[in-house]
Order: sequence, then C-alpha cells, then structure tokens
Amino acid sequence: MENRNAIRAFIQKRVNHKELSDSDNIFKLGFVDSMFALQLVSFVEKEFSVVVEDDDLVIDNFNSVDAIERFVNSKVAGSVSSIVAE
Amino acid sequence: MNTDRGLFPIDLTENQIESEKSFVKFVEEDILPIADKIDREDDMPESVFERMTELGLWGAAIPKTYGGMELDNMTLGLLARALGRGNASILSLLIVHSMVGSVLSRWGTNEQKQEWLPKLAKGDAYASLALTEPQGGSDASNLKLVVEKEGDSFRVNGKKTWISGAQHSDVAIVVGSLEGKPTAFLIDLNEVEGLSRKKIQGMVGFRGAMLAELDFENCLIPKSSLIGRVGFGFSIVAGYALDLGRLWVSWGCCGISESCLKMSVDYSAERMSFGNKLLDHQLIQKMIADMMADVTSSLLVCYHTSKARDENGTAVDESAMSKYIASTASRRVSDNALQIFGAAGCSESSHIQRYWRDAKIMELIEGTTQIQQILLGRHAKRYF
Ligand SMILES: Cc1cc2nc3c(=O)[nH]c(=O)nc-3n(C[C@H](O)[C@H](O)[C@H](O)COP(=O)(O)OP(=O)(O)OC[C@H]3O[C@@H](n4cnc5c(N)ncnc54)[C@H](O)[C@@H]3O)c2cc1C
Repeated sequence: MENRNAIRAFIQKRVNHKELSDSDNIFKLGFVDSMFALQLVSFVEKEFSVVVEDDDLVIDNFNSVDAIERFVNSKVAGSVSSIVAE
Repeated sequence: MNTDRGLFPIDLTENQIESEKSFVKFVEEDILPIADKIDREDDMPESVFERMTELGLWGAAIPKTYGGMELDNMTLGLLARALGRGNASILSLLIVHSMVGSVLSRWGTNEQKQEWLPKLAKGDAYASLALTEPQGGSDASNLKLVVEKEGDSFRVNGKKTWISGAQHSDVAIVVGSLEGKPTAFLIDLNEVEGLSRKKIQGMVGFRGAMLAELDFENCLIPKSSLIGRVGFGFSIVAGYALDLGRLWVSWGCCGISESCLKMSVDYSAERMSFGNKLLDHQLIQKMIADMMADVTSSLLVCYHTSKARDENGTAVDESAMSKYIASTASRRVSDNALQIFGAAGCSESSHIQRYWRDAKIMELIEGTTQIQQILLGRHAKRYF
C-alpha cells in the first residue's frame, strides 16, 4: 500500500492534479509528455532502490499506477530472490 | 561578496577544484590560441582531437569500467564551462560524443557497451547523436526516418540533418520510426551501406562543429542495433541524452558569458570616451551590471542542476531551466559585450564576435528556447 501511495503521489503531481484512478492509462489519456517516462524511471529507481533495465522498457510496466506498482513489486521480489539464491 | 573567489564562489571539493584547474590550463594553452582560426576555417584540426585523447576527455562521461573518467555532473559542468570560454565547437563535439557514451552506458545492450564504450572512452572512435530531420527539430517525435524489420535486420530510409560531428563520426545514435513508434538505434556509420554524408559549412556559429547531413537510403543494419525497446527512442534514450546535453550546454553558456563579462570589464576600464573611462559612464555600468546579474544567475542554476543530477541521476526540469536561463543570458551578455567593444569587437581578431555568434546557436541546440519554455510552463503546476 505504501508503494502505491508513493507512486500515486508522484503521478498525481505530474498530471497537473487531474482526476485519475489507479487503473487509468496515463499515456492513452495524454496526461503526460515525452519527458515524463524518464522522470518516472528515475523516480522508481530512487524511491524503491531497484534498477530499471533496458528489457524492462515495456509500456505495460509504466502506463498506470496499478502497472507501476506491479512492476515495482516484481522487481523488489526479483532482487530479494537473487540475494537468497546467492 | 568575497572578490578573491570570483563573482559566484561555488562550493567545490578539492578534486573538483584540481580538475577545473587542469581544464582551464588545457583551454588556455591549447584552445584559445587557435579558437578564432578554427572558427575562420570552419574546421577542427586533428591536433585538438589528439590533445583531448591524451587528456582522456573523450571518456569524461563514460564509466571507469570501460576506460572512461566517470566524472560527476559538477566536474562535467566545470569542463563544459572551461570549454565554453575556449571554443563552443569543441564543446559541442564533446557533448554529443558524451551523450552517446552516457546513453550507451545506461541503456545499451552488453554487446553494444563492450564493442563501443572502450573505443569512445579512448577517442579511438567518435560518436554523433542524430535526432533532427529536414522537416524540423523541435517536433522531434514526428519522425520521417522510417525503420522496418526485415528478417534478422532492420532497413533504414530517411535523412538526419545538422548533426554535429557527423562529418567524421564512426557511430551514431539515430532515432527513427519503427512500427510508427520513436525508436533508437546504434549505427556503425563506417560499415553501413547506402549512407551518404553531406558536409555542412558556413553556419553563423559553431563553425568547427563538423556538421553533416546523413542520408540513409535502403540501409540494412543488424537487429542488435536496437537501443532500449521499441517506442522508447525519444522519451527514454534521447530524453536521457538531452538531460545531460542541456546541462552541459548551460555550463558552456556560463563560460561564454564569463569571458564576455571579464573582457568587457577590462576593456571598459581602459578605453577612454568623452574624457572618461568607459566604465565611468553610467550607461556602460548598466550593461556591466546586467552582465554580472546574468552570469551569477546562470552559474547558480547550473550549480543547482549539477547537484540535482548527481543526487537523482536525471534532472529533467532543472536541466530545462538551466538551458533556458544560461543560453538566453549568454545571448544578452555577448550582445552587451559586442556593444561595449564597438568595432573592435566586430573584428575577426576579437573573440567577442565569435562568442556572440556561438551564443545564438546555444539558444537552438538541445531544444530551442521555446521548447524549454513550453516544458517549464507545462510542468509548472506540479510545484504548487
Ligand atoms: C550548430 C548546430 C548543431 C546541431 N547539432 C545537432 C546534432 O548534433 N543532432 C541533432 O539531432 N540536431 C542538431 N542540431 C539541430 C537542432 O537541434 C535544431 O536546430 C533544433 O532542435 C530546432 O529545430 P529546427 O532548426 O528544425 O527548428 P524548428 O523546429 O523548425 O523550429 C523553428 C522555430 O520555431 C520554434 N517553435 C517550434 N515549435 C514551436 C512551438 N510549439 N511553439 C513555439 N515555438 C515553436 C522553435 O523554437 C524555433 O525558434 C544542430 C543545430 C545547429 C544549429
């Protein structure tokens, strides 16, 4: 839930506080510009201490609050399992 | 104000201070003596490339793992500031080369990194970044260069123009439209068949930036040329490059503005008019005051942006703000300098006229002044 709140707050600020639900596709709604993706990647990396790889650059990972939360959770789970595997 | 430490004493580490000294030494000894000649001849002598290779500067923004210097954003800024005082064309060649190096380090595949980064870091290969097309640069995602999948390759058709360094670069990041989506490719310019380069000369400024048009006619490039994923060529790949590019251009503008200011103060403190030094006339003092304000605000915003980039990895809004403030400032400052110098500043033997022409170009590259204004205006609400 904490992750979701942080993501929602980040996005809400960047869509000029327009009404937005967690499942809304922010790219399709045209709420963000081309520089948004880069800011989003930096935010995700810094906020959740994960690394976004070139393979992760798939629009479905980033197009809504729900999608970003799923992506962050899978990355965090991935880094935990790789630590366990070591 | 502590005058011993200059107009704006920015806080730097010992390492950063030492690095800046070596950049300034390089510019004073190797660049300034030939800066106007480069501009007159509209070409960059091989000796400049060699000297930069000796100093490791081609690897300034490339990680140490690949043989680069991996300088922090503050030190990179100080390098651009020194080069801005020297010659803007050299700065622009290093900027595009470093933008490619930094994009590859961040978003390149392992294979791309291994093949190109060590060469780029050593200056064994030079890189360009090709975004702009003949129909327009500002509307950069509206691409007419088309890339199509063909078996295990991509076929490329289209033109890129005003590309810095492209007269001689070995490799370029080229953004084209694949499946209707902006996508970035790393293209080996020496290997690709069907590419023609047309040298561009006689620009108003940046004479020496080795501009060329790149015409891709039915060129086949391997599938491994893709950088990042389809559709992210502009927002992520070019965006990441521009974030660094804007910061560097801004620091370069500081260099131009500082030189213009210092030369104007020195000149007006000597030159006599109506029985007084120029500097004693209040209308000249007004120009100098405006120049001091512009230099100080440019340095402050660049310092702030470098810090933000060092802390966060990217600084999209800060870079746009720096670019807007510092480039418009350098246009005003160099214009005031030319006014103060009168005819002497217009002569081809004066650096001032070159700074004035180069400063105008600074308002166009890495996103024009209007593009920065649009970006900042659009993002304003998020801060309130
Ligand atoms: C010396 C030099 C070096 C360069 N090097 C490179 C390089 O290495 N790689 C590369 O890809 N490109 C390079 N460029 C190209 C540069 O990036 C473009 O010139 C720039 O992006 C502007 O594009 P344009 O010239 O096509 O102008 P246009 O996009 O046609 O714009 C013309 C004018 O209209 C304004 N404008 C456009 N849209 C709007 C709008 N929506 N609202 C208000 N005003 C608007 C612009 O600000 C500009 O003033 C270089 C240019 C120069 C001069």
